[in-house]
Amino acid sequence: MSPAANRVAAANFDLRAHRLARTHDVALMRYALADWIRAHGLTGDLAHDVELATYEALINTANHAYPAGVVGTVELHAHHQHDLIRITVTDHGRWEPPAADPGRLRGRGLNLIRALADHTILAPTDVGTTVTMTWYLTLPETLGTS
Amino acid sequence: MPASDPDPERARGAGETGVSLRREGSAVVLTARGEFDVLTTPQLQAAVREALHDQNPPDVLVIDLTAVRFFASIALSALAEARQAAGEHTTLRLAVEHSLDRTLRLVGLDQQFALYSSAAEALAAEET
Repeated sequence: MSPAANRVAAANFDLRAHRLARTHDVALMRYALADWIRAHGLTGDLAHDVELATYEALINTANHAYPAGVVGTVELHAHHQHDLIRITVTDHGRWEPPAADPGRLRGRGLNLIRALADHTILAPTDVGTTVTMTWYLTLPETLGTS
Repeated sequence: MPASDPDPERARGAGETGVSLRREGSAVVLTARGEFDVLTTPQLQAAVREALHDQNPPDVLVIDLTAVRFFASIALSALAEARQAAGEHTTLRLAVEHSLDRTLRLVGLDQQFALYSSAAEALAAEET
């Protein structure tokens, strides 16, 4: 396949990644997302906001989803259709209550996610937590597949 | 269990991320380049400490962030800590490009800092 055809084919694919919820692993997930963002032709503020908000959701999982000494996993799913981008970050732990977190990182990270995404849902359940972030596109951003 | 690559810095060419300090008269300019996430923000924090804990703390500390391309919330927290550490003795000024300027405004931190578009502009600013 030619490089251009590869790029168009890549733009059709969702990104799915599943790694250990550790700072080094979530850094690699961010790099994979940055590549996915580029492959989809996303640029400017939108590209910046998707990468930053997703990293904040991933790092929250690494820092807060699992008790000390337990290394759980985190899943990233990035989806792009003609009018929106939807990113979900899922862990299988339980975010520690804010009282257990003396630092300001978690609060600042969540505030940042909410400020950067058009719509954010934080859904804790008995088996984990899912953060869903959506950006609504006003113009076509993909190369198209026709 | 998913595989794990232990060396994301190498994967990303983290040689492009770094911090440096230089004296400019009674000011110190801290230049930060690249990406500041949980792995690399300690470099920024260490440079801030070095700049402020000098035997003669500078009148002005300019943190030049115009060559930063990724700045996570932990790095924003590092800026807030720098502001506290600067106290009344040192005036803190930030040089920021579009994305970081926008991020600071989005989270309401823009009012906490004196923002400039370049290190030269920040150095030339009148004492306020």
